[in-house]
Amino acid sequence: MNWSDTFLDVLKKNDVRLISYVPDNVLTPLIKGVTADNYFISVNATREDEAMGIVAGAWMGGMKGAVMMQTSGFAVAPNALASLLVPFQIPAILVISERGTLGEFNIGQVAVAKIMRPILDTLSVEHHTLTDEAKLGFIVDSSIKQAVTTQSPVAFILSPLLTGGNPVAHAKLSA
Amino acid sequence: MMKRDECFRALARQLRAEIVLPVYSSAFDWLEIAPRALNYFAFGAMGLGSSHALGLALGRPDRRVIVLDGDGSLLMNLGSLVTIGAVAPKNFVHFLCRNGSYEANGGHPIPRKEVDFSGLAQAAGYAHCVDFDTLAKFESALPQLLKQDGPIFATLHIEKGALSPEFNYRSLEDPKRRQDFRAALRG
Repeated sequence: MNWSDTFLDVLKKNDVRLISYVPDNVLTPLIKGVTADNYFISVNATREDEAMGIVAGAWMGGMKGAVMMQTSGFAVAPNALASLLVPFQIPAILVISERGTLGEFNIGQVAVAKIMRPILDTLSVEHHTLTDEAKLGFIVDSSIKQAVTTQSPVAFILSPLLTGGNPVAHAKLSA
Repeated sequence: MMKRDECFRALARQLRAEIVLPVYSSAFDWLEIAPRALNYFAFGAMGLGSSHALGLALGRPDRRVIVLDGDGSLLMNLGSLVTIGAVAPKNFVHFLCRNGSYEANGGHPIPRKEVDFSGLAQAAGYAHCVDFDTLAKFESALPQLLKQDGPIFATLHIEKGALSPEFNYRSLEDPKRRQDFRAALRG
């Protein structure tokens, strides 16, 4: 299996059915996998905080959910994290495709990549950077179980070491 | 123009097992009029009420979900209209209390009072979009409106409420309300 199939397989095993996402190049295999599988309910949201609201509502209705976004999109969402997911104990699974490092051309992405982990740390949100498909299954599975049991959000940052990064960025750097 | 509490009383008389999700000022009016376990108070980040409701409607397709939104709140999350229009949950009912102001935050006007919210919802793909400006018309239309397949959008043209009312946040945000809500849904 490739990394995205492994990731979606772990979501399924943990009964995470609702996937709300803001589209992104690196997330393409996850988005394609989710929309092609009837098990998942996928919602293409317009903003990352909107997607977090959707997953919060689903959780209160008894359904687990994940939010998929890009690094710069994460920077839209600290209000929803700080005033919704964290204080109201919503175990949302946050999946962030990492831009701004290992070959980035966009200065805005680089800036956000530097503040993303400090924001998560400040809010005491558990996060793991996924670099290796072989370890992905264990990290994601155990962390989702921990998030649900302890009623806290968890963030998975998808490193270019795992995903290969953004092909457009690589093309622009070498041009 | 209508009064919000009168609209809510009319709505409360029609309800059975629906989930009701009132935001901001509406939450305090609704809690007084219809204190029921199936109320979900859209806590946290302002503007996300319609998104919470979409998640609930997807998580609980067996229940009708009614969101009592505000015009200032919806303007913070206008994209949600398009998301809801695309997902098109049949069990989704969106009431917009339109008073042209950020009532809970000093009564300041919204950027453009004349904006046609029902028109926006229509363009975003909602199945039914209507406006109400008299209580008699709202009351008589409600039973049929609540039976239609959604997503439904209704703009309620209401008067501004009192500035700086005594909102009891402690009661509204009591964790027991969330526990009761989830228990009522399981039961």
